[in-house]
Amino acid sequence: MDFRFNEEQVAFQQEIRAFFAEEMAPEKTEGRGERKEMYGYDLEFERALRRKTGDRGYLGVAWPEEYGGQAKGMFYQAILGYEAAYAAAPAVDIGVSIVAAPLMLFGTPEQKEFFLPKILKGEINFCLGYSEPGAGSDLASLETRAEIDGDDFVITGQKIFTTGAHKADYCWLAARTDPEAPKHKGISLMIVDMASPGITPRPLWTIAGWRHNEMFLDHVRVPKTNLIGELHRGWYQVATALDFERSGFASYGTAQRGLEKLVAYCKQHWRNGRPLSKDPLVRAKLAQVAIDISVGLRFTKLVAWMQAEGQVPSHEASVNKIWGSELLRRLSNEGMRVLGLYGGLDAESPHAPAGGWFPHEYLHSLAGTIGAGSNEIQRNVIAQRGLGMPR
Amino acid sequence: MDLSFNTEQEQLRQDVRAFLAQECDRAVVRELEESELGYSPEMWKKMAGRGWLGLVFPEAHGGRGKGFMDLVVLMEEFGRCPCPCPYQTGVLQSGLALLELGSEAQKRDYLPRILGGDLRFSLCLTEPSASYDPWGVQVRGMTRGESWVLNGAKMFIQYAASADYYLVVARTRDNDDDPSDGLSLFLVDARSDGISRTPLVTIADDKQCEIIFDQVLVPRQNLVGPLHQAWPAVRKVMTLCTIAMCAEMAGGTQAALEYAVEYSKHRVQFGRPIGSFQAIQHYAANMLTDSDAARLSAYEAASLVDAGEPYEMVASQAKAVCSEAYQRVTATGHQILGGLGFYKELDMQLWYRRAKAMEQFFGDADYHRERVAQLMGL
Ligand SMILES: Cc1cc2nc3c(=O)[nH]c(=O)nc-3n(C[C@H](O)[C@H](O)[C@H](O)COP(=O)(O)OP(=O)(O)OC[C@H]3O[C@@H](n4cnc5c(N)ncnc54)[C@H](O)[C@@H]3O)c2cc1C
Repeated sequence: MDFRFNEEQVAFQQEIRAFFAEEMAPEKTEGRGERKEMYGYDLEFERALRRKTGDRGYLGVAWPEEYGGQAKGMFYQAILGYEAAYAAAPAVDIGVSIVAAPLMLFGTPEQKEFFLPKILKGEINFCLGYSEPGAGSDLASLETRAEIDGDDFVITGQKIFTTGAHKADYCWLAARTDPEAPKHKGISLMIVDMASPGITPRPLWTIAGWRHNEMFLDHVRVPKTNLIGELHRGWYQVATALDFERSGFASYGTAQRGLEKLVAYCKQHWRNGRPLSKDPLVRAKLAQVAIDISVGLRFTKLVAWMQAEGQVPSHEASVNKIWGSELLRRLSNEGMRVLGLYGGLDAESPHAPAGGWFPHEYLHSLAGTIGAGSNEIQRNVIAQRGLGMPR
Repeated sequence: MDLSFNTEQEQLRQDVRAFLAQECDRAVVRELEESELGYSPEMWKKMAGRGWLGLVFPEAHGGRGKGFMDLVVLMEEFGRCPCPCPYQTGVLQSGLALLELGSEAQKRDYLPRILGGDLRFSLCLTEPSASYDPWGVQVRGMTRGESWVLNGAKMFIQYAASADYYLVVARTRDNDDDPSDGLSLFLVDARSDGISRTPLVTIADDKQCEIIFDQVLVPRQNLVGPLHQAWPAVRKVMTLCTIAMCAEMAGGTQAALEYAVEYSKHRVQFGRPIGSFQAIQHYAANMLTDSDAARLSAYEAASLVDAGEPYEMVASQAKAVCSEAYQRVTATGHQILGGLGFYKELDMQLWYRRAKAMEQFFGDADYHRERVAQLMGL
């Protein structure tokens, strides 16, 4: 047994870390901050960085060669996700992390030929149209209708929590195509051009200050050729896509970034006649975060290794999702405690420690335990799929 | 990266599991706990015969020359069982200390007999200070003529009553600036004059003793390793044994989880198995998370030993993780068992008590968080 990356993987990690460090250097990000965007940078910056990352071939590092990828396997995807998060670089979009894999599995040759190269190059980006006001955890109860009319679907309904709908080129959408069938059996997946008439994203402002969306669809025409996979089989394809989403690696990059900020602060700032880093309580908190990150990386490696071995992780991915999202909540909470009264200062304040990272993450991290399948749903998965407990 | 066990390790797991199912079912575990020795010499001899005592020791000294990942397999199975035996103190702590510090003659004289199950050893480090750090060692070793003389008290020494020999860490010189300087290791016949033992009754029935050394004479040649400078090797051995214990804890954690889940599938209330209640399912999900965290952390630590890489950091991470995971999982396990779990007939208590005992050995989670903090450069 061996948990270490091999030499080539280590070299890739160093290379990509250097790439993001350069792209996210203060000279380049100066004046590009935009707090109304989830990643914290203006959309031009985000697009440009995504393209540049795509041009380097990084986005397709794990893709099969037939789709223009480097076929280096899941560890490289994990490293990419980790390093982008570590640098807080808005480089890896839903298209890469969620859409690409099921598109390769279920898409037609024409769909693959059209979309995959553009995703690979970072030229287009996606939003994810699953959740609705009445269909959150119980996604299969979604009501947005897609009716067949000649060569088109005609879509009417409402989506909610649609991350990036206001900036996306395409939406990866789940809609009901057979209202008569049992609820899991009447859903289809399709790709919708966001420039189509009848789509209206409206802002929902998150407590972390960035723009989220609800999205209204009013008789939106989508060519039938944009159907992904089989008609009415969308639910099963969504489930596959979510398994990819849950294997997310990014949390630990974000956490490591936060920990390093906190450690640096604690070494430089004194309280009660000694550096904070010499206070036993503070040391215990910092060490615990480091330990939790190390555990999370082991979970991540297990998921990636299983994928690399051709196994399908199920409860392992859920364990990892819970761990990463709860870790960020603990880290931001403990971080704010260590910072004391300064902990609450917003990034705007010149006195804010660590650029206001902690209060922002304290708000932002609320979403992690809910989005991508709430942690309660993940625990159901672990108990029922992982441990075979009765329904 | 390769997160699998090799076929030989898988085979070892099957062999050990089958052996323990045969020789050490839960009724036997309870009997051994109540017995004076605390383990079965016949079973011990059989395990020696299968080469398990010598698993990680060089073939030249009667061992099998396997790696720490193999040891992990064995320890996990001991933890699952849970098998009461002096493997930690008698084989690992004492054997590895001899291997690290012993002269060729000492290794030749003692190691094959330890690994063959013919000689029983206990390593004596901890004292009334209850510390695993150098300052905690106050037992004195002084020269008198051609001998050493040992004076002082050791505490919490497992399986000491049945041991033939003690390996005693003693202070042979004072250095106020560096308490790790001046520690030496002695090989002491357990029957020597001046040694008295008092059994300590503990939560996990692991047959601990307090040992008083009162003017105990030790032959000159029984110094093991360099005078005054035993600490680095003792520290190393303790860290290796910590990793082995983490694997044992991970095995216990896994078994306790399985036991609770199995129970929840069969216990019916309100007309359904309690395992169908979401409160119980979410407990179980948390237990699985803890169990995997413990397991993977122990694995990574052991894999670093085999790879010849620094392992101190991951060993401390693992001990912090396993200490809390094992305790939490067994405590939650008791909650799932309801009232019945409070009685000795059910097995959860076997792991629950060991979780607490093993949490204390080699330092608890707080102790290892502080070690992690030091290794992080704080
Ligand atoms: C920041 C953010 C970004 C998101 N981005 C997207 C996106 O891009 N596209 C998209 O389609 N969706 C997105 N979502 C939506 C997300 O997938 C849903 O929020 C999530 O599935 C939960 O649904 P809900 O919010 O309706 O909560 P509900 O389903 O109403 O859940 C409320 C509470 O009830 C619990 N609960 C529900 N069912 C069960 C059950 N069976 N057992 C136990 N507890 C249960 C939940 O765990 C939760 O605690 C995003 C959400 C957030 C917060």
